[in-house]
Amino acid sequence: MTQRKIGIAEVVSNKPINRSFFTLSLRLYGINFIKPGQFINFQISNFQANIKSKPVFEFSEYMALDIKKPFLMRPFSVGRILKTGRDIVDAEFLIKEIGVGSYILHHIEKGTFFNFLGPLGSNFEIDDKIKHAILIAGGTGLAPLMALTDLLLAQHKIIYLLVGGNNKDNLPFQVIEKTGKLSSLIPASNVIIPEMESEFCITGVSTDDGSLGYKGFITDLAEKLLNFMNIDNDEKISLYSCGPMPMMKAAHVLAKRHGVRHQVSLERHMACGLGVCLSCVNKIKKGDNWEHISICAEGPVFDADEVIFDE
Amino acid sequence: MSNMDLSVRIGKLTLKNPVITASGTFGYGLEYPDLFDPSILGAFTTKAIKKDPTHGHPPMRIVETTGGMINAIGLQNVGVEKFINEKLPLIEKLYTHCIVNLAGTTIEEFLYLTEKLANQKAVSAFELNISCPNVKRGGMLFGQDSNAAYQITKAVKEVAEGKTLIPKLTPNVTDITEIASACIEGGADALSMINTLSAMAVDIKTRKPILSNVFGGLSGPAIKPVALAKVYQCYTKVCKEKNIPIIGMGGIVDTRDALEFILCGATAIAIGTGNFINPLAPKEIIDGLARYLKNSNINSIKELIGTLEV
Repeated sequence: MTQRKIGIAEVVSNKPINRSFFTLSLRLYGINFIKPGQFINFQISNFQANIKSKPVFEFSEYMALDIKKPFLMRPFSVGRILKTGRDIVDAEFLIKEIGVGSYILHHIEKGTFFNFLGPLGSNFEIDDKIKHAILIAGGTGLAPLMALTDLLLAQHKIIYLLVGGNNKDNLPFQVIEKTGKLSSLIPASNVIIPEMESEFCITGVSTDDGSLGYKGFITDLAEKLLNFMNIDNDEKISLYSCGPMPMMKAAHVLAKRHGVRHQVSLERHMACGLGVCLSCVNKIKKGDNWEHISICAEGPVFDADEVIFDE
Repeated sequence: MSNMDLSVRIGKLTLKNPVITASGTFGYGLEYPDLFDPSILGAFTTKAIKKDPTHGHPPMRIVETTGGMINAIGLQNVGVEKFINEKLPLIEKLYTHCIVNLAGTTIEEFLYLTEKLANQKAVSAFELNISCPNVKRGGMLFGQDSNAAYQITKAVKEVAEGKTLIPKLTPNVTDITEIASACIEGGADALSMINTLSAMAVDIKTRKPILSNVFGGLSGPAIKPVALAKVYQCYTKVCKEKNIPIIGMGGIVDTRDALEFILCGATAIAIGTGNFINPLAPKEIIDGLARYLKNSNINSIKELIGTLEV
């Protein structure tokens, strides 16, 4: 049985990445571990907008944010896990300001405390036999894949971390134009994710409009990579993806074509986070049929073969 | 704290305390053990059970509001067969009362469910979800029509084999006391109220409704004042005189809320949406009520029921 707890989170740092994205570094008191793919529910209902912090999310200019406060908890996949230990986990959370809850978190200060519920949900699995892993991220989907990258590196795998966005202002990491190893395989992918690029982690970036990196969908970049890699055997490589549903659906088409295992992390609006309210369901195949499954409890990580992407 | 008496009677049941978890917010009582022992509850209420398994509505099923949320889950459930085979054997091991919420769109469906479950030992009581649309009457909710409410309560009572029967009233009516009377005439042992308020939400970006079902039910602290008024009306106009206990619910998140409902006439209370904000709320409220009795020098919670001075 999972051990979920109500613990206390302390804000260690809150660092902007660009206009909308930021990294919240938290010390989570009361839990001993969290695994890549799992998430935490933040209890922030008692926080209010600070009048001097201007919101940036769409339509915020038409909202009375001093009145509208979050009611439900806010779920976020864990990003890089920095330290685990006796009743303390230090971890980063990659967040984009899209509404009142994330707006409050955007301006939450170091030393602030709030309650959390976690660790929640399922985690990514790593097949021992694989040598390579391709990770495809869109937007804040990068968060769980960064955590996974660290774990894959610790298990001596070679990682290709591919991140896509609409344009160069909308990427979930700090942009530095610098050539990495991928550009020697695929021309025009001349940007890397600096904090993740290393000897065994090759990063690549795409933007829909070509304002940075490869022009096109991140799955097009992934396809080029997969074709280049010439996979002969299904056990040597795994695919993982997290981002918009159409992106993960396209990634699965690639996975099937190349015969590789593909795990996805889904996202749905949540209430309880525990699997009792049936708010956050996705269609998941069960035998010959399908069921609406709460992704907070049986997911958010699923084998993509089980997922029906269309609803 | 052991000499504070929190016990209450609902129909044939003695609850060790008046704290219940509401239908649809606590699964089948089996999903919480790592957070608190469900056996501490006076009772828990299962998710609505229907005759056949139901998929429910497509996403989006919920939307947050100021001080609450709207849900349109669509009565997703495993169906009565699976409930009996897979859930009841585990529920039987809990030391708390299991109130099974029954949902259907015809009287026949309700009767089918009741007959299937009437002899199950692990089932302590039936909560009748009469906020379901009555397909034989153009989809009007059973609970919006006194006659339908009377008929369904009476029909179920006849096959319930003496199990405590608790119709759950909807506030989306002109006069809830009429529906309450009708259910009591039909043989209700207790009444639970209120179910959610009819509501909707709009997305100005897409210019569409947010919920896939367009309409949903509003719950949470936003509805507490409405729930209190309904409980008070039913208690003073009908239930007190007929000695029918009320399970009061609607936005309860803390001990203070629970006490307000009890003063208005509720014998027991249920926490629903509050569980999503604070999964430990039921435990905290049980402890809070005991503390209140101790600090106020009151021996039994029963002494507070309906004592609002007007």
